[in-house]
Amino acid sequence: MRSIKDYADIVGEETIEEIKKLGSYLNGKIIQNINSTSVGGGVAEILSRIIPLLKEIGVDARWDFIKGGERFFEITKKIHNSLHGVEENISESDFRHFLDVTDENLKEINLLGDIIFIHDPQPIGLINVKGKNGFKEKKFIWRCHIDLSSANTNTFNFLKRFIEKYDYSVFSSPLFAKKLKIPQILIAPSIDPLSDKNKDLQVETINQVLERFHINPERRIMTQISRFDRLKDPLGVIDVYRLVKKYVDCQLVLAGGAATDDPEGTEVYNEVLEKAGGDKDIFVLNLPPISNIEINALQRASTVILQKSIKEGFGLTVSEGLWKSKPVVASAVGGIPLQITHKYSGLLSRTIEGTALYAKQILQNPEYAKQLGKNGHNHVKHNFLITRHLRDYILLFLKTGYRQDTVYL
Amino acid sequence: MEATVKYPFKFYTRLTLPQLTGIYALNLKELLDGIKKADSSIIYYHTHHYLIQHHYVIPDAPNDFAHWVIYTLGEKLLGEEITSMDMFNYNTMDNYKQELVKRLTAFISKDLKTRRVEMNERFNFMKAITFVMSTGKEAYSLREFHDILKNITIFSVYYHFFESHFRPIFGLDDFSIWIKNELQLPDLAAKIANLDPYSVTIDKLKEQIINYTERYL
Repeated sequence: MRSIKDYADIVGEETIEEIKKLGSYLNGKIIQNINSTSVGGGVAEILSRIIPLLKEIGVDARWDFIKGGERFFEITKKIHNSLHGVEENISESDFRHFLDVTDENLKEINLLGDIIFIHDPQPIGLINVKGKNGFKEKKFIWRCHIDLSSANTNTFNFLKRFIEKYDYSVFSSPLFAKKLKIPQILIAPSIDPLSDKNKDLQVETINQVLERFHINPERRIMTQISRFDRLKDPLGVIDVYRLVKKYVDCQLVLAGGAATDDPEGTEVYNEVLEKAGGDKDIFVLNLPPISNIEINALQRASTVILQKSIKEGFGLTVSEGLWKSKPVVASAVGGIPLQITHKYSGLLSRTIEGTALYAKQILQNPEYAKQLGKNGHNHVKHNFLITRHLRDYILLFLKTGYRQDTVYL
Repeated sequence: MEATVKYPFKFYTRLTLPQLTGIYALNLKELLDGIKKADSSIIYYHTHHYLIQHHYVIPDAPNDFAHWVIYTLGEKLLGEEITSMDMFNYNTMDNYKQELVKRLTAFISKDLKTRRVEMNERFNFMKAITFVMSTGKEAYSLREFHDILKNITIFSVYYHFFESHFRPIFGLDDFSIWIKNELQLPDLAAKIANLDPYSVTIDKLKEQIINYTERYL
């Protein structure tokens, strides 16, 4: 288990001291996080890292889950997709079932927190206790990890009746939010610099991974790490590679997972293999979900990292690449422009041709590449590490105790 | 034996959480309307958060208005005009806002057509929820001041150097006031007061103050 002290070497002792002191103002408060699962998905991953750190600095942070059967989670999956703008058929009976399961959870769950921090839509209905005896003094926060900008109106309106009962809502980017009557706080997600996916690796480890996949460490490597998903445009990345390859020799690594229970993922993976057409310099790696060290090594071995998404959530793989001081060329979609300032901490592109042009510039100008990587690393260090995330959550919890916008602690 | 003073320098720090106001602009006219309606906390957020978020970068367009006007609307002339407005010439955010409104109005009145951007390129008006906290560190001498300064976050430097300009006594930073009044070192105080924080990074600013201080130890 990592300790808060372990981060001092990265962000400085003074930053850790500041976080600890802020945390001390939450003495006596219970912060109860509630979501739908302890494993799998980005929410569980971040909570599993942040809650132990909160506890270590003396904040009484708890973590509970709601229950729901297969049908409930099928419905919440449809709600999730629909909020992302995907057409889904959610019937009245589905919404009714969602409300019934919410009622069952309200009977079973012990809402003991002073601050109740609800994550994503699945447990959103727990807010229905607000205002009832025993809950009047409690503060409720809804943390939305989803981009709502293209949400289906019907689905959003169904959730809005719950959202607007909360004291605060939290979004990852201004672009992900919707107009609401309650305060909307912005807290970006983060990466953990000490996790297997991001920690420093020995050169031998990196070389072993390259050797295992038969990638030549002596030649330039262009990499995209992402699921085999059409929205990540892996086929477009192959087009980029072919445009680049006309002028600059390089290898292409497309690495990610294609879950066996995701028929589209497998379909896209097969299309990528077909498009690669046996090119010995294209490495299509379908990795199991536990391949964090492999992903880390592939990013660290890369000469340039791409994230040519058509649509993106926050796109934290960009921060992962930048953290490793790698030059990144990424699409200007979702949360990516928050992570890359064009021509300063990376390059933002909008087309296959543009991506290829920038990739060529990086591959042929190592000094430029180095500077972009260095600036990108600094930007992530100050804005997208877990310590900043921890500090923002503490500030959010503190804010629930004050009405004014300037708080003197 | 080093001189100590009666009133110590108490180091505070300032941390913020951004909050959306729900107001946004898709073109220059809407930006102007938003600025007119914005209170001081909104103007302050958009003129200063960039410095904190990119505190290791030499500011290019060091406020959000200028950045959006240059890089999203492509209005480089107006953007440069906004960028070069010296914040320290204005005692209050309202004074700064009035000047900003004047310049934007003048530009728009020339009937220049400026582009209307897509929703995903909009300017979102935001404000900061601010938390001010004592670090618990106090300096009774220049040596202690120097040693503490080396080990505080840039948020603390920001509080004592930038925010102080907009508190009574206007236009001065907390460091130089204390060094002049308590340590009786007017030359050092003047050197620090003359630093231009809008054209260097906060990291660099901190380093410069430390370097100046070292010369008087």
